[in-house]
Amino acid sequence: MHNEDKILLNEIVKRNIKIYETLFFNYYPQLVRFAEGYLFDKQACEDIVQTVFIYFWENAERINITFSLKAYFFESVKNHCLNNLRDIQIHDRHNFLYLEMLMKHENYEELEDSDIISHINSAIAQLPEQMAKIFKLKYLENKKIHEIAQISHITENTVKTQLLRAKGKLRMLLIETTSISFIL
Amino acid sequence: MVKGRTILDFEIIWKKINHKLTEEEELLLSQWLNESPSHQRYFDKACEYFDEDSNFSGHKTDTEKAWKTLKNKTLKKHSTKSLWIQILSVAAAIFVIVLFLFSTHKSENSPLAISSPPIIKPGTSKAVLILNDGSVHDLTTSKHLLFTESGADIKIEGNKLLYTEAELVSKSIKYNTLIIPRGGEFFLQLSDGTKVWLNSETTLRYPVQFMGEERKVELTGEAFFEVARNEKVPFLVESGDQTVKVLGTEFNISSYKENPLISTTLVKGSIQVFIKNKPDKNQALVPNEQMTISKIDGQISKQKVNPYQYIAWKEGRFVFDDQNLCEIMKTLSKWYNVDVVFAREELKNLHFTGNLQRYSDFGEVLKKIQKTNEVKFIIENKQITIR
Repeated sequence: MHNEDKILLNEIVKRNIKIYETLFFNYYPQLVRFAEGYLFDKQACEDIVQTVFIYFWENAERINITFSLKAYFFESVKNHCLNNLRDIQIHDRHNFLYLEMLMKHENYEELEDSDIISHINSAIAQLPEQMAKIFKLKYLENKKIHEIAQISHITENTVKTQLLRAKGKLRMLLIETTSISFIL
Repeated sequence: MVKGRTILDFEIIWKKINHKLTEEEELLLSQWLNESPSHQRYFDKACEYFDEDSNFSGHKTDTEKAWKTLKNKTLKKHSTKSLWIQILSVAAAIFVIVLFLFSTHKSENSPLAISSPPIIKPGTSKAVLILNDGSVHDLTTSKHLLFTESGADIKIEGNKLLYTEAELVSKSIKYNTLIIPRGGEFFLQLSDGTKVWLNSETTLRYPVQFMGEERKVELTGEAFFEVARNEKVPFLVESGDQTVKVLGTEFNISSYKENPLISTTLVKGSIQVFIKNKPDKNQALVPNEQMTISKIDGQISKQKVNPYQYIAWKEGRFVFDDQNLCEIMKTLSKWYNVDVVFAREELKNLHFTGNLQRYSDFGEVLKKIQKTNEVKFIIENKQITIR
């Protein structure tokens, strides 16, 4: 764990509400958005993040943080989400939702972690040229499918197929090189 | 609560929105959608979320408001180290003492002893490895050991035991045995890449390196196999009189010594089951099928099941789908390492349905069952009495 996180956690153990508030304001919006990528339900996601924060406050002494506070929050929220999905018989065996979220988040400043960006970029670099181009248009430049079709002079269906394949490949590449907790 | 039976991979929803589905996938999706309104709701929301033109993630979260709710909900009791806390803790201490006196005096009819100590912890990753030379190694204490056996490396990483493929140096097959005690679980990767999740009270004997025309392992207890595909060298799992033959697939076998039945549940691919000396009884299974064979009279039955219920243990959950309490307690007692006594025989036949976290402490699990008001649990040391 980073020293900074150690100090922060220690303050929470001492019930320093100012630090708690700061952490909450820092992480709440991004955690809700992260959870939304799993559940697509704002209310449910807000509840989950609240639950995670309540637990964090009440059990700070017992919390064992191996990597970082950030990873701890994201991991906890993710576990809650996966539990909710399990209840409606949904599995995400290939971390599909997780990857989708990474892509979505890449535009947001909050996931500024250079490690993730460089991992994703180097994975994209390994895709075939056209596939990589389509992928970037979609996820880095936020172009719509029909716009990509026009720009690249291909049909919308081809765009969709290429995107699906690209994701399949990226998933493999990213999962090989990174563990989830590392990305977080 | 588990109502539906179809497990859907999220990929299918994504494909439905962005792509084409195969007929098979369409069928699976509509099956899943029909099982519960909550499934349909989730699907609708996913469509909205992934719709390019919707601005789903555009709306702002009101952090300010959320913070106020959070503060109200939890912080009041912690915000100041006031007199209240001291009073409360004294009161709590008195309450505990009273409870203690109460329970020692009237322990026979105190209905709920669950919330009092000792807390019974769930199982953890525990295992003992026996090498070919007979030497015994406790994998719980030696977390980063590395052995070499007939040229192959054996690596331990936390709760995982990994074998790597190596050049064959000896002509005879060397066997290792992994024993998982009560309250334990472990993950094993064999030299061919096959993955095995071992549940509590389970023993698996397997070659360090596979040789010859088959890959054979012997199982007592329960394990989930993800067999690495190799069409030329079939993978065999022997448990009692039953042998399961596969090429590459995912399945669960439960073959506990004290249980008169061996259950084999197929998740993916196909398997063949052979019964010793009874070639006419051989069975082939397709996904979502379970076969049970009685060790006593060799009787075989086959049924369609929700495989998730049988493999949930591997994902850290207990799933009971209309199971009787006797079976449920058998499963729980292995994981929590407790003994169970039924005060009345008919309690064994009560049926429950539920989806529980495997890593909760035992009291939590029992509380959930007790909430149904059908039974009461009394905990004394490591014995649970059900009334």
